[in-house]
Amino acid sequence: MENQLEQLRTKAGLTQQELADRVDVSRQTIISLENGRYNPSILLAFRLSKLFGQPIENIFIYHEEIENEKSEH
Amino acid sequence: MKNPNTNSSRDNFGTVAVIGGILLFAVGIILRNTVPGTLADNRLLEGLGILLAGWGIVPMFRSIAARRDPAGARRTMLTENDERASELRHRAGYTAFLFSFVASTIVLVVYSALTRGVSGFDPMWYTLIFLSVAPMIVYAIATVWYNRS
Repeated sequence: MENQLEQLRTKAGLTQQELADRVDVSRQTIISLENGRYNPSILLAFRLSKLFGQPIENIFIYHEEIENEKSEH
Repeated sequence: MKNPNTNSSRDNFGTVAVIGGILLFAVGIILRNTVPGTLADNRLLEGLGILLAGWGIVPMFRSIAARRDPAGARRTMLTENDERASELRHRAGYTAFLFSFVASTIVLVVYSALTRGVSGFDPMWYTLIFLSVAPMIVYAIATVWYNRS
């Protein structure tokens, strides 16, 4: 699953550690999320959504949707 | 996901447990040397005191460290309760469980083959059967339990 976490974090001027502290996870989890190596729990997804003021589907992009978008273009 | 701020009561428990353990240990020694015919004769109170103090020592030091560096302590708790770390622990635990099940079953089969034809009660064989079957029974019961809860 792809995500916009790194872009949103950078835009918000937060470091990985600051973001981790805000959503009560470790910095390692943020690193794994940004690298696409870990899919968050629904609770963490909601926390990130609330923090950035974005719907979850704007932050985390289900791969099937990307494939569908590619086939449309 | 656990709230990382809920560990403070556990840390306070540590101090109480260590003090209680030391008191119990001291009472055990005093009773054993002054009043014969009590539970303290077989060092039961001293043993319980050591157990209680040992149980509380890590939370107590954690509590002291948290008072000195609250931000660092919070970060440590976050790392411990982190959802990804928790998932990794579960996966590693399941892998270890499968390995132990397969390994103990192989040892049981080999041991059974080597002792084939030997009659009489063999405690080693029953131990190996227990080590092989018990984790699977616990796994099955836990799976049903978690499904219902």
